[in-house]
Amino acid sequence: MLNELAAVTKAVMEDVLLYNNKSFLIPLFLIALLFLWVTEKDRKLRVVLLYLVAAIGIVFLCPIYAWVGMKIDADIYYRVLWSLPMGILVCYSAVKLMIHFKAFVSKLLVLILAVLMIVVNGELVYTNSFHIRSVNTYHIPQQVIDVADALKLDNYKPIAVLPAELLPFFRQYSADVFTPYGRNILEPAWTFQNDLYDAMEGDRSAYDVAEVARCARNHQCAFVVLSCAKQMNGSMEEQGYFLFRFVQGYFIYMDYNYYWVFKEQGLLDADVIEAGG
Amino acid sequence: MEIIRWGILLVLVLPVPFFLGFIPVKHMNRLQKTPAMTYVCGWFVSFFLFELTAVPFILLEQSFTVLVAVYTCIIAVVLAVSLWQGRHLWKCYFEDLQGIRDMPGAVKLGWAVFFLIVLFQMAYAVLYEYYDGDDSYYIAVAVLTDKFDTMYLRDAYSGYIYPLDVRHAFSPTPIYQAWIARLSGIAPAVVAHSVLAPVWLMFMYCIYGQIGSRLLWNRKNYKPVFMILIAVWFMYGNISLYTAETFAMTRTWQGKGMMAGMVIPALFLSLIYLAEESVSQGMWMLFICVCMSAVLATSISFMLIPTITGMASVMIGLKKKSVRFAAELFLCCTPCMLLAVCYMIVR
Repeated sequence: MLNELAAVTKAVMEDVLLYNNKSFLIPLFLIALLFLWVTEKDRKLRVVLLYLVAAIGIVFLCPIYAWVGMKIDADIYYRVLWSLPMGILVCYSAVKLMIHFKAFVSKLLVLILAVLMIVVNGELVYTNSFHIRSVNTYHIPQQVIDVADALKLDNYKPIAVLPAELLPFFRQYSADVFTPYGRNILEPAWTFQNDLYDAMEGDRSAYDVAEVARCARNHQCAFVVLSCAKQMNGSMEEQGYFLFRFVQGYFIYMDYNYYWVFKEQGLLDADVIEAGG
Repeated sequence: MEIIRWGILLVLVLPVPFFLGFIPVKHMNRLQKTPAMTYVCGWFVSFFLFELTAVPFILLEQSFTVLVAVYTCIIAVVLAVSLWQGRHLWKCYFEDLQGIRDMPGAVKLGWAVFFLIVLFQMAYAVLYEYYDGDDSYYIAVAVLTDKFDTMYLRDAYSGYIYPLDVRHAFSPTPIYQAWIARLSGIAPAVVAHSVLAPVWLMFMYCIYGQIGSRLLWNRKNYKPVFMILIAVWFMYGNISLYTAETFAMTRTWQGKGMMAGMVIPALFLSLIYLAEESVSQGMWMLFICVCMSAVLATSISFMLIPTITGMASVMIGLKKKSVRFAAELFLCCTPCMLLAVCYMIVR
């Protein structure tokens, strides 16, 4: 038990360090807490902003509480730190300090220093993350939308296999197509395995077409979407597929086996029938 | 047609939450009767009602359309009651607006700077996209819900039929977004990324605005300074992937972002007011709604909310020297704990 508690304590400390990264955030928060502890006179505010916040901090760092929390989900235990209102305390402290000074220049200086402290110690969210100019209101790459629209059938929801780069976005746009796997397969920690994914993504520069076709049939995929950025070792036509569309750098092939069945059942749109001949 | 859809969507995220807020705000004191507080309360009333309505429907594996019909009717009824009850509030809002004229120039300038920063953040949220892997679950759930009319019964990554996803069923933020998408006819990805991202940022700053009003109630002229600092704090809070600021700014529309950016600050807002000598009924209402909204946002609330509420009851109870008050405060998280028990049972 003691060993377990020691491990939990270590994990909590790691969470705090990861949360704080190399910044001054948590020390700044502690300084603000201390500052307000000394200067805040309003007893009602003291109870919530100081005593409660300090108690929350202590409880969340407590190994027994953390042990229970980590039993539920160790990966997200760091989120308990969200309960510490760091922004409120730091910004309120800065304002209190500003109020303390009488001269306008001193007040302005405190404000400038406070802003500078946040800016210098912080990281701008827009430059330090995966922000890119959006090309549509969905906020997903346009090629995903075009491929999804091309795959959509009016009377049937087919199964299609997609290149890895489309997986994180495809299902945010469309539920008209089933996929043998999704973004879950891209997350190494989740250890999903799929032979079709291995066939599609095993070689970064080329597709082993015969293997892709074989696996796609095993997974009942009517459509196979291949990126033109990769070479094809072999031809999909030889494997019994036809090229339905070429959309935004992606070849969309349809399996003739499904084509005949779907066509007979009247499930195909006119453009697919035309492409299949 | 597209204009009508966008019109409905904007009505659902702007005036509807505002009007829903009339009921709690009517029972608040004068300092709290502000348009921003009304908007804040309205969202939490909406979340509270949704959590109470949606979870049973999800667990009973009912169709999404039934939930949409029931919840929409509930909202319509509450809205009607709210509009009736809040008819006298307009006078307070008007007085608030008149107060702007009397503000000193420097304060007006401060507010202008703050609004410009927030406007920039909102515009950035609309014009720039942020890649987050979790969207391929959350938004996909909303898309599947709308398309297949089932809730958490299909695998978000493949679309195939799946046993009920109990882990997420108690925190149905994507279903809430699917409700907005269904009523408006706008795709869930657009609702989340292009509408809720900026609107919930505004919602978040409304909460901080109310916190500022309480902290600086006798130094009102410093409130814009506090708000500017908060806006800068959020903009520069991306020191790691794990901070509340990162989640609030980059995943505003997800349950986690909602928890970090809105629910926890609102919890402190309520607690600050609950620590006062005389507590308004409206503040109790808001606190209960916030506790329940936390569950709607993320299942970590099952642990966080009782812990924070428990500690707050002890502290505030001690300060007020009232066991009864402490017990009443703690009882506010009873619905949250009941849901936690259900979660443990069905998990």
